[in-house]
Amino acid sequence: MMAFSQCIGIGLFLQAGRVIYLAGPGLGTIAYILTGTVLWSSAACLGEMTALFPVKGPIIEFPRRFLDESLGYTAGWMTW
Amino acid sequence: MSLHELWVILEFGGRYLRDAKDVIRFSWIVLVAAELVAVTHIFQFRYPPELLEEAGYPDPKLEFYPKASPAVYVLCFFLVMLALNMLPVRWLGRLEYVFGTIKMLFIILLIFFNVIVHARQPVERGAFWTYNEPYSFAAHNMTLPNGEVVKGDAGRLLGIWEAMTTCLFGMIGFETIAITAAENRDLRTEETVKIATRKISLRIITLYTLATFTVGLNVPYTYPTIIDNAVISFGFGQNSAFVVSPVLNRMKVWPYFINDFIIFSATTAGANGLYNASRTLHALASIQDVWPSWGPAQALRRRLERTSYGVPHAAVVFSACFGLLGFLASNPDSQKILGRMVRCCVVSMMITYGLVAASFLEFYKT
Repeated sequence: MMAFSQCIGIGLFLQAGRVIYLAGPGLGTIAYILTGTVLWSSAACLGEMTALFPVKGPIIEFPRRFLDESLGYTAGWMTW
Repeated sequence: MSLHELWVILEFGGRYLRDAKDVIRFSWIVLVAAELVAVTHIFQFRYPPELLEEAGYPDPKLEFYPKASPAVYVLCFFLVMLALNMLPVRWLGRLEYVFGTIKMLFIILLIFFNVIVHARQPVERGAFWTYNEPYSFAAHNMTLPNGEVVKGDAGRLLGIWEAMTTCLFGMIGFETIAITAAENRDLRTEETVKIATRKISLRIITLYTLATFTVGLNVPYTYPTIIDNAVISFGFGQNSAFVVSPVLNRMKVWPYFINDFIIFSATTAGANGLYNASRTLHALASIQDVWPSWGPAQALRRRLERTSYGVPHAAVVFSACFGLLGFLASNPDSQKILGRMVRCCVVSMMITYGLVAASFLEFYKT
């Protein structure tokens, strides 16, 4: 529920109009579904890994462990 | 999917380099500032009177425009966000749970509102009128920021692409679940995180899609206040499609109600962004190598690492300092500044997502 509360900020309320203007009402709906699948996939990746190794600061820890140390630090500072 | 993500990054990266060369790439702290600027935007709600007349609205003017300077609101809401984050984490979690529920109920209310308004038709226009001539299912063409118009299929593709990059901002925040996982109580007992990720994603996607679909039934896509040709900018209250919809149907109290609710949701989302920022900083502070070996930097790191009552107060305050960027709202050009902040946040978040996806691939191989 906390993540839910994070997602619903100004993004939906102020930008739905812009989406409708750019793509039209029907395609705007489809655009939301497509974007949703992209973000869902990355959230699912993170969820899967966190379920196996519950660590503090997963966004820093996983790229560091599986890719390279420097990449992990980059991700950490970027998320901050 | 990861390939798609890569494309989004490339597209965003190019645009980003062109538009905002000098902004440093951080994500959550910029988001906090962005929500603060957005709050001031909503306090500057003024619906154009000629459009009200055209829609046959009962009142001659529709505005919510207190005279105080935007800086005052930034200060007030900044303090609210800081105070929420200073609470013991158990209380913050409970409050966020309540806020999240209220927001979800509100979006469901908006969906029902738009459906009922479309079905009852207070102003007779016919079913699915925004989909019929002269409007259509998809936008006919796309106007580039320099005034050129791309027509036909290319324009349609460009339109949906640009719309998708716009949607991304609304959906950032899925991974809050993973950030909070370290403070989760029953992590070991079940696969809580996995199930929670799936639930949250499905909820958000369904609600957003339905909300956009239903509001699209009531607002034609060529309506003047939702048109926005600038590359990156972020509107005021009257630019929200959810406010336009009751106006076009001559409903009286609803525009104010929706406008005020956006303030609430921006504040709580900002508080939550501050939470994420402070926890990430706290996690960074526990790794010695990330910081320069210079003496004062290491001293700062040790301070940030401390917690009391489960809250890293130093990290919260240090992150909140960057929320003071919200005072940029007192600039008359605040629309562009907000757009730039949002883009900056989205770009860095997309790169992070890309890294996470890449590390998942490596993880899957081993």
